Amino acid sequence: MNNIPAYKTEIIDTEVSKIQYLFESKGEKSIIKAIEYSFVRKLSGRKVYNLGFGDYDEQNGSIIDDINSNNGDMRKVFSTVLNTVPKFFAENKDSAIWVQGSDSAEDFKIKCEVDCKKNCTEICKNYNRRIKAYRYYVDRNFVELSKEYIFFGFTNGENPNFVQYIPKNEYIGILVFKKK
Amino acid sequence: MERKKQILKATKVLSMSQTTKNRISIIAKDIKGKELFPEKVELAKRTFSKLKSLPI
Repeated sequence: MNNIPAYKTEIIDTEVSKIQYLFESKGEKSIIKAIEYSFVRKLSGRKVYNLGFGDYDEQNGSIIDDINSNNGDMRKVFSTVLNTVPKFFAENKDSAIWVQGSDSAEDFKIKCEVDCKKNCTEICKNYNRRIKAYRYYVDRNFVELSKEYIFFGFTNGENPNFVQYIPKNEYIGILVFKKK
Repeated sequence: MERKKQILKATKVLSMSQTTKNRISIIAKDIKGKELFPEKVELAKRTFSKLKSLPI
C-alpha cells in the first residue's frame, strides 16, 4: 500500500472516452486539481488512455498543466493521482495507461526558451521534468510495482519505440499495463 | 486468486469539507464533457499514430 495520505477525489465524468476526477490540494493555498484519463487509441486490441493532471484555474475556467504550483503538498498530490490508478484498472482491466509530461513534447524546448530564466546552454533543464518525477517514483518502487503492473518506457530518437522499463534509464513516456 | 494488496492504493484518504464539495460541484458543471488536457491528448495521439502495435 502507498503510505502517503491522498486527498479525497470526486469523480466527475465516466464516459467511454474519459474518466475525470477533481480534488482539493490543501497546501499553502487551496487549489482544485484535475485528473483525467482520456482515450487515445486502440492498438493491439487494447485501449490506451492518456493520464493528464493539472491545476484548475477558477478565474479562467481552464486547466493549467505546464506550471509547478509549488503548494507544499507534492507528495500528497502525487499519492492522490496514484490512488486513482487501481480504480482505473478495476474498470478497464485490459487497457493501458500512457504517461507523458507536457514538457516532453518535441517543440517544448523552443517554447521554453522564449521566457526561460535558467540560461540553459545545450540541454533544456525543464525538458522532461514531469516524466522524471514519475520515473523517480517507479524506479524507487519498481520491485513492488512490478508484482502488479507491467511497465514499458518510450524512447526518443530516430526510431522511437517501447522498450522494457529498466530503472534509471531515460524515457520520454511510460506505458503501464495491469497484470492479470 | 485475486491479490488484495494494491501498492498504489493510499492507506489514508484525507476527507473533503462540504465547502470544497460544493466548490467542486460548481466546477464539475463547468467542465463536464470537456476535454481537460487537449494538448496532452494530441501529443499522445501523435506519439501513438506512429506505432503499429503495443509491446504486449
